[in-house]
Amino acid sequence: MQMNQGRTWLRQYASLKSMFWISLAILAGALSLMMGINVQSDAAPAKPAAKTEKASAQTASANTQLLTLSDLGSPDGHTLKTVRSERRYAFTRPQNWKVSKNTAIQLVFQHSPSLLPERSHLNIQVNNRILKTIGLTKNNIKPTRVTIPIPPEILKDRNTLSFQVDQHYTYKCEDPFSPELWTSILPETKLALHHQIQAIQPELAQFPFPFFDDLSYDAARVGYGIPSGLSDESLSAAGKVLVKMGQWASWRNIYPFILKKAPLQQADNLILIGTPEENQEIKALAAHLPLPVKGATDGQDVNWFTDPEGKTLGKDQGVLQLLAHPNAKGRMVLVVTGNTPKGVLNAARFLVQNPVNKLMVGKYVIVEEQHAAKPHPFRDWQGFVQTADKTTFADLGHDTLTARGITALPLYYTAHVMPDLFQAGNNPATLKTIFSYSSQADGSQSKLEIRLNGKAMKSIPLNNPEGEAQKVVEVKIPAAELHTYNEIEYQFFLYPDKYDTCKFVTDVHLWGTVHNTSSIEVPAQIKAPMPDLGLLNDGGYPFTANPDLTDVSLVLPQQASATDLNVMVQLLTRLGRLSHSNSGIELKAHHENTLPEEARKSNHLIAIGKLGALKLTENLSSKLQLLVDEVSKSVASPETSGSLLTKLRYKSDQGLMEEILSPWNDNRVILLASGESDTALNRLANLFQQDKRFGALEPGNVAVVNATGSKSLQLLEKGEARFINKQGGNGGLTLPQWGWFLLYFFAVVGLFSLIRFLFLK
Amino acid sequence: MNITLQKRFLWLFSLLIVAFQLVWSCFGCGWITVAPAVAATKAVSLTFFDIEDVILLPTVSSQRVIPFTVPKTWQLQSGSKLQVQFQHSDALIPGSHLRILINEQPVKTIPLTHNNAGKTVVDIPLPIAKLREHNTLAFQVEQHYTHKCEDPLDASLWTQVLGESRLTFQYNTKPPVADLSQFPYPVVDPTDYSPSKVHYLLPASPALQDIQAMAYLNTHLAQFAHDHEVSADITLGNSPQKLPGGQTHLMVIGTPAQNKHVKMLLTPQSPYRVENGQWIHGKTKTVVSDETGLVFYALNPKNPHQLVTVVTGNTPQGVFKAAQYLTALPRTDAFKGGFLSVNPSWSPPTSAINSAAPYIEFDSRMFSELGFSTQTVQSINAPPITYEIPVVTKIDGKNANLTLSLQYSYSPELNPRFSSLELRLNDRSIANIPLTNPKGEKSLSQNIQLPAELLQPQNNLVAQFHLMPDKYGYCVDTYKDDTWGTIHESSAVLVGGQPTPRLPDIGLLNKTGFPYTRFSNFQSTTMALPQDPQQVTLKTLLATTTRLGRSRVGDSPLQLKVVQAQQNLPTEGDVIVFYNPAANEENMRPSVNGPGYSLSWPELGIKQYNQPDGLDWRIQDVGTGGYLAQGLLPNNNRIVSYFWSTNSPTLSHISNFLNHDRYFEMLTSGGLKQLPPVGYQLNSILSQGEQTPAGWPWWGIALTALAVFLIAGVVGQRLGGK
Repeated sequence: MQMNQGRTWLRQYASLKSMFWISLAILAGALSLMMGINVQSDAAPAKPAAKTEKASAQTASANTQLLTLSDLGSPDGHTLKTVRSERRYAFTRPQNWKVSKNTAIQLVFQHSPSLLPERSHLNIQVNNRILKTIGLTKNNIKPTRVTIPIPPEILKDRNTLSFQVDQHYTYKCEDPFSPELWTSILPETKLALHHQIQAIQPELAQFPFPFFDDLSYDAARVGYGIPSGLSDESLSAAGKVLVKMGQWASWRNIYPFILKKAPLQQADNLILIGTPEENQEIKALAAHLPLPVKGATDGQDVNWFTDPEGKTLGKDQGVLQLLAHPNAKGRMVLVVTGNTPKGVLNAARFLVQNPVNKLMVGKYVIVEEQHAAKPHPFRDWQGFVQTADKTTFADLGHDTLTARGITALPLYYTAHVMPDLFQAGNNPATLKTIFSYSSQADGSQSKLEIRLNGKAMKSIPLNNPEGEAQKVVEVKIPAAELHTYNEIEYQFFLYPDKYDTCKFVTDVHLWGTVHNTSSIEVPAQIKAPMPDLGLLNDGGYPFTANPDLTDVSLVLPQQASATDLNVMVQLLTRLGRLSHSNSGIELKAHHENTLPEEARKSNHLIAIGKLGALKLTENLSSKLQLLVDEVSKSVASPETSGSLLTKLRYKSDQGLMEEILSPWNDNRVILLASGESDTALNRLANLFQQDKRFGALEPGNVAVVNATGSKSLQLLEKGEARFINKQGGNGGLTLPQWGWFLLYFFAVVGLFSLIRFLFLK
Repeated sequence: MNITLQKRFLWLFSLLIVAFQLVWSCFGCGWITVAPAVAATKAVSLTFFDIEDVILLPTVSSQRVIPFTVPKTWQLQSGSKLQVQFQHSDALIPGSHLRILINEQPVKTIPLTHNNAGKTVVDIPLPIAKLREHNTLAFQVEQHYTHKCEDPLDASLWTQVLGESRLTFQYNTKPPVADLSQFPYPVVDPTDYSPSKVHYLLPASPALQDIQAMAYLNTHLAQFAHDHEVSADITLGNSPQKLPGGQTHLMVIGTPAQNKHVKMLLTPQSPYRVENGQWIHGKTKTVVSDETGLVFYALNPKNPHQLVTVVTGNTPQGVFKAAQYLTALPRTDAFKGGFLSVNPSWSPPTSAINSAAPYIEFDSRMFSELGFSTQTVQSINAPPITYEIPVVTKIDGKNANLTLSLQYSYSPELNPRFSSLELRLNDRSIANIPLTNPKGEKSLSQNIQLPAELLQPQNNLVAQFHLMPDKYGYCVDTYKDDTWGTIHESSAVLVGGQPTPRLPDIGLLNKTGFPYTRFSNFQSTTMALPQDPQQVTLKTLLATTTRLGRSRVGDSPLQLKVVQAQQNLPTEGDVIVFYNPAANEENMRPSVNGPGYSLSWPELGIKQYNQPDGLDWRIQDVGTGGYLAQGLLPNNNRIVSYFWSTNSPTLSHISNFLNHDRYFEMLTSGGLKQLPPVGYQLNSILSQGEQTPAGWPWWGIALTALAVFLIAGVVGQRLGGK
């Protein structure tokens, strides 16, 4: 249960984002150092939510991006303290922008009245170029507004805006940490990026650009043309594309939606899926497609794709086509199609399979043959501690990091632990830190502090005047302190030798490094108590335990509505964002009448549909922990010994979600996403679409979704729980390395005894 | 009167003829100016010299020196100038100034006042009389924020010279000296600011030796150019549509029978003549032997500004011998003049110098072997000393490790509390050596283990001296900063243990040209061409030889091999294949292995992706992409690289990618890279290298050995008992 406490989905991605910002800050710091600047920066990395906030940054006009300090990671502004201090902010220039000349920083600042005007200055710098030096005088003690133009030619794809202050309150003995030393960059400060949007040429080699641009500030809006009447194969194709697009999006903000109007009237990036027969929107686009559709333009009633020479493509051949959106500059339309549903499925399989999808070049690809992808290994989650064995920071995808100077930045590392790594009892985890530090630090004051999830765990004195290289220190982490998403923070406190405020000191030679050979060891077994909706929030478990979703089947009502499809789009995109497959996507999607027996027995099932429309629930009525009583408008647990355990009234506009153990397989679960009305289903869709709401999903087996976000998400206690730990019911023996060692040893001893028994008796 | 006039005309005519003959003969001597001067302008911004966006000049006193060149062929004119764009701290007080020096002579001193604190532009005429081929431009500042107690490290002490500052050269071009003793100059001039352009003219159906001669010549030019970009192109056939202009050097290769350009360029003063498509001695009228090579300079008759190098002979063997002779290093007999013939008995020296490759593979390297000389930095704001160290093998810290054996010196009068030598590897601090001896030290030695986790194929090692003067503080009476620190070229990178190969990895071609540059004469490298290579394929060959040549300074006669499809690939050494999908030659067809799969191109426009368990893909597309790939050949894990495309424009695109540093430097680790038809952003398709099967754990081996020992003991005991 402890694994489920305090987790939010956002945290998982926060770490990635904080790593990005930290890396930028460190890179900038390194550059400055190389130029000989004595940088004493107290710059903190941008807050983890910066990406989300960036995406919500106001757009003053079609060609102006306004970034507030909040968007850049300092919602309350930033105060520059000590005699020398610097704060850096990273910002980007999206690929299809041409930045205009009136781009500027709108700075609002104030400072301490004690500063000596002749010795106190604020520098505003972009990419090593000082754009303005402002004297900190009596005239700008109160909030002062200054507009500083940014020459467009100095901007690159990734940029650094920096505020550097050098401030003093006395010529005599000066305490560099005096509270009188401060200059505040106020939250009203903005970066106004004026720009023009450039046209883009369709090129599959660049896909998923422009659907995703790492440099963009906007959420990736993707409209899906997925009609209701798709065959199971085309529906599976859609499911694969949705999951893969989610994986491509990852931490980026994405807003997927089902097209409700003609594609050319929707000025967004679009993906149309199906045969021309199944999806009339593809037929309507025929005149724009790079590969012609016979029949669509010559009046014949055939609708076959042909190759450039006019030869009709085979039934199993898939087609991927990318074209510039005819009515929206800078937008693209991707068509995943073929002459038959199997062709559509083949096209989708190719599109989502790494690394062969990188073979795409040009505006179209004809997939002649394909086969299933090589499976992504079970439980091989990038960036997670996966076993009880030692996991190095390098295994988690982290670099060695260095912090510098008297105001050294904290170094952040994430240590995510797989949600099914079950820590029974109180066996502590071991964090082994390997670090180095510089010579000539004051041994009485300098130290390294290690914090886990904001709590200080250990303080190590840095008292060797010669410095140390790759020193090792171990910290025991109580089981209760380790969650699924953990952040380890290393704070170096570095003071120069014989520090004295009345004598000159310098800290340019002081640094501390944490090596990515550091490791964490979690004594645990691989098992997870199920069912638990909260685990969805822990990386999409158990559906993403196989990151290619090879054991997941999605089930829709026989007559799937647009609302059902909307839930499918949001749910599968979310599962994609929570997972990462190095191979393909093996999810299957079915209408419930055509759900194969094998899939029902072998796979996790995700069933979407309105109450009553899904016949599958009838087969599950004895297994559901909470039964829906349509007459009394309530959900309740089945009677046990004649009494109801729980009863919760619900309304017709509330979305319902329940996870149960599969009656057909001990190691599989079924997720039901349901409701009585379109409103209820749309609320479920919103739950999966919005990071904040999804991040609030907590442990339990049932969730009721209201309109007002996470607070309205009411949960019931978990019912029958079971540990599952095997893949397909045939998981192998899982032992730590020492276990294998012992097993091997006993086997040899046993063999020896047998030989002795046979030959020496 | 008429007779007199006739005589005068005859005299004049005779004089003209003599003058004409002198012109031609002297041209052959190499000292004649062969074309009138051409006026031109070249502007070079400071960013050309590998500086950041700005030059930052911090502290009370600092300096930045930038080397610049004036090519030999330029005659500078009076309009030449230096435009300085700068800005500085508002806090500076009168007395602060920026001084600009050229070749250590001040050319301008600019007071740093409140009026020029913002971006300011100043034009300074260049002292053209004092400029040489190699020059220095220095920016010095003396700057203060107070007359009282001053902190020399105060952050308000700064001046920035902006990257947009530029040198503008007004010049007339002098024709280059046509003297083969200076070859490869002027074909390649590393002092020029533009890439050297070379255009090869070969017969329509060149013999293999012609192509090999071209490969030798181009590799040699690239080795000479080194850091300087070279862009090579080719035209096959005798009727080129349009030859490039006067800034491009033409290289004509072939026999006079096959390459009509040869005879066209021949001068009457040549000691040899062409008759019936054959070279004959001018005096003896005998046919030049098949094994004789000939080389001469000429002018393009259609463009008198354009110098042409002709490499010829009566047979392809003779042509190749001429190329071998012209490129042989070290030069044993300095050839002079504009015409030379290679004795048929001459053969390239067999003893090769083949100096150590400038990267870490399996052996240790001195700094001098890596191309680093002794460097000294001075004063409180000493700049970092940067070393680019390529490591082309895997150093895992267990089976192999790297140790930096550092030899360093430092000055006396350093403040021992703050002075140190910091080492950073790839932007991470790894060690700090305190500089504590008040008397300074000479050639101290210290070993520092380089953390394996930080090592990459390209490594940036920085030695940063933190030099704090002894008498340093806010209010010292006599602030003096004579501090210095030195890193000696006797420092070394020591390899411990047994590094494991990183190949195949196409990314290692970047900067190092590995593995093809193991030997400076390329003795283990073979280039494999289609049977009838198209012009665009040969252009890719040129771009490849340029890239490899620039990666490795030459010191020995070249031994590069060139083969064609009908020949078998060699059984030893590493290979580069230039595949032509249209020819579809079986032994040239790319097959690239990744971890657990392979990729092949069985037909035009078809890509086949195979996995051992039969999970295959086959797709068809417009095939406009180009590919750079690397795989393994049988026999000793030899490396094969493939460069190809399904159409000519994209293959030409690949040549551009190889030719230009700014594109090629984007080449990163991987097994297969795809170059889209537009732009130069490579797609990585296959991951790097082959996966090696995991070995048994050590304890498994130990226990097995124990078990075998015990069983042997039991059996032995039993047998002994009998």
